[in-house]
Amino acid sequence: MSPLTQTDNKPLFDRGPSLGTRMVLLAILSVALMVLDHQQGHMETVRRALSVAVYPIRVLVDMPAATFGWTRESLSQRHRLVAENRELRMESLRQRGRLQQLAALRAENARLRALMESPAKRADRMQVAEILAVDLDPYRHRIAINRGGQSGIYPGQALVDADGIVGQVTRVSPLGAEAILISDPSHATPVELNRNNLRTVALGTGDLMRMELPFLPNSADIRVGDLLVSSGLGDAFPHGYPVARVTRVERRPGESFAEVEAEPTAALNRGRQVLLVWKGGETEPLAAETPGLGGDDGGAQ
Amino acid sequence: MTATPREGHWLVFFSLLVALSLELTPLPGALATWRPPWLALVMIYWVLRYPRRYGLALAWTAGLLLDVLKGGVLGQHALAMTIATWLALRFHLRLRVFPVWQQTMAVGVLVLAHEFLVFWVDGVAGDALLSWQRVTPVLAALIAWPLMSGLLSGLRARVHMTT
Repeated sequence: MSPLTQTDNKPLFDRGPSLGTRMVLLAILSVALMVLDHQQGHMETVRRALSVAVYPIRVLVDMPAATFGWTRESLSQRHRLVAENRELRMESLRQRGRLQQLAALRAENARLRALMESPAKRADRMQVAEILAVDLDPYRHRIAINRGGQSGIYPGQALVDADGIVGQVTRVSPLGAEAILISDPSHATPVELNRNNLRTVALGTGDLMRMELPFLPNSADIRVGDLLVSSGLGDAFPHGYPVARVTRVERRPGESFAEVEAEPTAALNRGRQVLLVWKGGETEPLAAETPGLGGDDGGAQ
Repeated sequence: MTATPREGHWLVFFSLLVALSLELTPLPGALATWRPPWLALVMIYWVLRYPRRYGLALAWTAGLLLDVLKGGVLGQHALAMTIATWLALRFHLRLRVFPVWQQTMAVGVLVLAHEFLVFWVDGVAGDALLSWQRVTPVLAALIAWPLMSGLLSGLRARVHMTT
């Protein structure tokens, strides 16, 4: 380390407030910011403006991962691509087969709902977003995605992947958004058992592979392997998406609640793409694409 | 040969930008909590070298940008950066003449104060899990400081920044 030198530009007399005063002022400013931001959420406009300014840093940090993915795609060998293509084709065929059935089921569902005079359910509109490869905070399960207010994202919007619910959007800036995962310790997901519509709440634990259901009585009809789907209560998530599968049920006679744990079905730490869901969207892409069954409400009369 | 003080600015801002990026770079799962507080380390380095030129206002601004990037409570890292930088400025005359290992220990104490403030605000804001892993950034900083200050001193010599 270089020794102390005289060219420190130190003025003979200090001007302005002293170091301690400046520290105290800035500390008070920080605390005021925290109170305004945390308690009242008044700072959203400031945050939005700043987040646009620093968004390039997030993209920059994401770049190695994105480049790696791109390189792997463009350098992979032909036979592997062909094999993958064939597999995807098969998968697509299977899904289409299932979709045909779905169209019939939808028609039947609409008919039954019409008989019960309850409003028909509509398909949810979806959009693909990419998760940016940035670490936000190791103690909280938050992710950053590359779609924002310009794509019509709104706070509270549900995120799903191919296997189930991932989380919901917490904060939106014009270019990107932040979302909370269902495994975050401060997140609760309203769920119901797919088997018997038993409703409860699944809490995140901070562990990606584990959720807790602390509010089920010992007598509740729940078994290991039961699928939990979103109940749609609380208006946070659309109804009927898989959330988790029960992995452990421990009934404790001395206590009023059973200890139930579940494992999220979505690939919370593996996927790179997620789907943003608009609740009860206007468009019905499923019906339009299904062959042989023109007209989505055909069975309603 | 030597650059005027003003000409060194770009190196300072560039290093702060790199530090901001490093704060977000994905780490493998087991090492997720072992991220050294890069921004605080780089800021401490520059105020120790140029205590008259870079100060609390820059530290506060950088901390605020980090808050926005990390999506936490606004002001959290701004506060922690301000206090850590203030401590560095307060004792810069002593810290600068320490040998490397002693300086590393002292910086460890500053980083400890920084991490404690971050943890404290987490606790007040509602969601803080107390675990031994909360001190891992300090340990990581002890490893990172000698390397980082060596690298920045090398760069500084290369662009002939004056002291």
